[in-house]
Amino acid sequence: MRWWQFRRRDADLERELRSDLELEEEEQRENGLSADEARYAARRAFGNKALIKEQAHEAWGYAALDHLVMDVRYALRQLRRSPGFSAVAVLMLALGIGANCTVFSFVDALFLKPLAVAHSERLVRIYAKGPAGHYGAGFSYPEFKLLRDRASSYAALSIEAERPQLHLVLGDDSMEVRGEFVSGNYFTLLGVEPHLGRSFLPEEDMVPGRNGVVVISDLLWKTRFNRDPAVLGRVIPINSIPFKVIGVAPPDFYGDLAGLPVEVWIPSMMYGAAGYGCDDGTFNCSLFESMVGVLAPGYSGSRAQAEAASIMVWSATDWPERPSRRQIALCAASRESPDSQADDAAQFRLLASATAVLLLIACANLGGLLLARGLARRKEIAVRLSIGAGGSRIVRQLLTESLMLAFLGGIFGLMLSMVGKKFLSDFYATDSEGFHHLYDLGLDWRVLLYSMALSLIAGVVFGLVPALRALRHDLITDLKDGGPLEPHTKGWLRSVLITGQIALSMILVIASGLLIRSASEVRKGTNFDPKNLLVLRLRPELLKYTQPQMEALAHRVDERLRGTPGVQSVAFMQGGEGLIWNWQNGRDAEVSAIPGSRLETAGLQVLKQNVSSVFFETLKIPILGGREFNEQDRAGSPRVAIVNEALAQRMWPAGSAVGHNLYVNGQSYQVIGVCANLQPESSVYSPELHLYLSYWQSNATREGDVRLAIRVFGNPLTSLRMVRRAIQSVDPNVPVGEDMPLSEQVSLEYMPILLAPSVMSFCGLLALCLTAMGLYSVLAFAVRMRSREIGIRMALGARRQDILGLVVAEGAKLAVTGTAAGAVAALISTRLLAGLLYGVRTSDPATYIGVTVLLLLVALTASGLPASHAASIDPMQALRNE
Amino acid sequence: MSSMEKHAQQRVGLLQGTLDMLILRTLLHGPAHGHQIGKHIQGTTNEFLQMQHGSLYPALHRLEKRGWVSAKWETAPDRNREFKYYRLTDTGRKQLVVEESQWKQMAEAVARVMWPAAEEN
Repeated sequence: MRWWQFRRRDADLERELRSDLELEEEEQRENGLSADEARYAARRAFGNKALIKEQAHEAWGYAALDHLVMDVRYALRQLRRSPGFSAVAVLMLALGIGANCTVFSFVDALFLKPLAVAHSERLVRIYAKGPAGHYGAGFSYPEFKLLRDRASSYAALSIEAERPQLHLVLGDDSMEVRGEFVSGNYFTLLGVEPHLGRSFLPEEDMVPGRNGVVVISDLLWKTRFNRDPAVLGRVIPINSIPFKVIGVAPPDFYGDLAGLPVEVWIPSMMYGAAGYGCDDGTFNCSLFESMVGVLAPGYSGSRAQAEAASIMVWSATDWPERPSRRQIALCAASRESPDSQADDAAQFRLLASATAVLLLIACANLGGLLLARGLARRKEIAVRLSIGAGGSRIVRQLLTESLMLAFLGGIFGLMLSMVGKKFLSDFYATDSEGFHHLYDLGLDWRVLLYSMALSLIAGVVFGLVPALRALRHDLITDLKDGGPLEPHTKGWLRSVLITGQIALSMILVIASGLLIRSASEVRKGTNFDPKNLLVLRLRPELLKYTQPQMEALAHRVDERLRGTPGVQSVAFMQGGEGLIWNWQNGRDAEVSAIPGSRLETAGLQVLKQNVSSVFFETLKIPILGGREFNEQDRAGSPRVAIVNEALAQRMWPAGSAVGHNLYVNGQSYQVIGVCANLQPESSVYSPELHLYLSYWQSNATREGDVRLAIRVFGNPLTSLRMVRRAIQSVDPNVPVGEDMPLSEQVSLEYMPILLAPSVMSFCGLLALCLTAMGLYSVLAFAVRMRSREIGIRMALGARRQDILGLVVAEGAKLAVTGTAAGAVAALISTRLLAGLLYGVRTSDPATYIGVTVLLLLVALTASGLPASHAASIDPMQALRNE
Repeated sequence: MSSMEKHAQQRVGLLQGTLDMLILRTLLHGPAHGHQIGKHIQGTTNEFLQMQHGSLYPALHRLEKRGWVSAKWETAPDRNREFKYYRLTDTGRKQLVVEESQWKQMAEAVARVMWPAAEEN
């Protein structure tokens, strides 16, 4: 029987009882009774109608539902009766649950949601793990072919190379799009059907450079082609090569990695033509990041990995950063690559802990409020117990009330998380290189289940103890309208709860304090000045410029910009995927103090960037010794180098580095200067070794992107257009990207470090408010319970300030215990933050002292109201009430 | 749980088993509605079993749920109104046999304890 049949059954029972009752009545009348007497007699013979119904429900197996309906109705009535309390409770829970759900939505999108492809459970991704342990060491095309042709564990295998900055020109508009180079079977392997046109044919991925075909994303089709079906067959230039659009991917398919929406898919055979081949124009060097495959039936992941490892013959590469010492690593194809998964996991662990602590505080707070309410309601409970309600019924009843609160909180929390998700995804929308990220944050059953589970747990956590406590009172005293209560014996649990809340808030506020200091340290730049500085990236290599063409371009851009009003100085830099200033970027190189040595034991791994003259002046990087590059350091003149402080100390611990020679790949360079480290101080990251070579003495075609730093007078944002126009007037074809104020780039690059304090401060602030409220309510309640005692004290001559002190001391005692416990806990737990802290230690005394003072002040304020209330008690009144 | 509550449940439980059997036996004569069943049991026991009609209905619904009786709204032949008529099902008939024999066994067992002399004679 289903619940909707319940009503019908009830109606049926009602009808049956009525008809039989009428019959009984008729018979009684036939026996000669008057109408009224007959009715009463019939009723007597029948008995209690409500009882009959209840017993019938029990017979149907509906007693439990009956009780639940009753409990829920009763709980709703109770909640309606104290709307203030209910609203506060629901709001607290909503904030706590909402914050947790927001973080969980991201965890879901990044780690849990299966890929929107066919047989996602059999899908694996294969990486080459480099000697440093990262997964991006990559494969060469011959390595992929070897595996594809010889391994039997894969039903299908496709190579993948993601390039986030393909240059797409549409009419007058040029833009950077994220592209993926894949094998011809990529779409069939994933079971993804283009919703317009077709995917690749096998023969379109056979001959290098022959088939310029592209499948575009639905988003690109919508935003750039106005959903025009005539896009099929249109030829669009990508990296200056014509590509024919053959298909539009379905709307829910953004590629197979979360957060990195692919906009164009291109056959892997076009990789070299698009500009990503080796020097010799082939693509035999390791350039493809991963492979994606479907396991053949009957093969497990570990077996497939073992087979791949046994088959693989690593080809030698001449790229030092693509070492031949690689290992096969096979993972279930999840939404993220293992490298970013590790980063994101750390980040979200932090956010999740902060929000979990917030929820815990909310629960403790509510628990305290309910305990107090339980005392206030003890007469009601005593009445119910004494008229025969079982203890388990009472507990169930009270639990139903807290669960109702919790689920209401959960529902509102889910709504709040919509706002939270928007906030977080805005934070993640753009990265420091100007690329867009997109996350599938739609509500799914996992998030729903999570919020409901949180509500359930929260409801039981904050509801069970008060409910059990409610039974532990003396019936007789309670019935006699609130006999005296000794707050010292009955209030310890509430004191523990409030002390715990103070301690937990302390942790959150200290963590946010540390993170805020770290963020401001990072924002202001370490040994460089991001203010009034513009950065942008030129990509002449996409136009296949030769070395002289590139140098000519650099010269002319430099000259033109310097002649532009408002520009103070111009510098440029080349070096791998590196940002112009970042201490983590640059191309790997091996440096030695001994000539000719290429032995790894003798060499140091450093990060190398090629920079123009006045680079250090433009970025305001201090030169600690020697000089910086100038116009004379050009091709033909003696080769020169600048090292950062860390590298100077490593290579020449005693004395100055200036004047020494160092060797890079067997080539000799004279050190002419030492510059400051750009790396903010951290307890986790040891200083990176940096080497700067002169741009004019390097191989510009090999290095690719050119990054410009332009110091301007005034707001860099307003100069951006002018600078772009100046570059276009020099060369209208050269792709320009990543153009933004340096301060913005710094913010984007350090996004996790900037995001953490805002989330943490949000949690910390809420925690403070909740704790203040909790402390206030505990003290206010204590004052109410002790009003007689206070009355007696006053009658015996205590002054108002004595009473004031009494209550404030109570609050202070709780606050001091709480902050002390919190400080110890923070010392231990903030070590988890170490990776996010720059320029500030986890035990930073200023933060600890500041936060302690803040918390004590908040506690004092929270105690002030109940204290003044206590001091204004009229002794006569208080005593008369007894 | 209070002791009173427990006591009440035991009493109901004892009555229920017997009541079920009495209802099934009554229905052996043919279909009947609740009122008729009540009247019949009271009449045949010469008003000895002082039961409230009300307790019949939960028992009837329980028997229906177990499939021992089936119920249908039908017009009474003597009054021009519909009543809910219960009739014995086949499983109900079997159950009556089972309950009857159980009752007999119990009655005999009780009798042996209560009047041991009668047994010896």
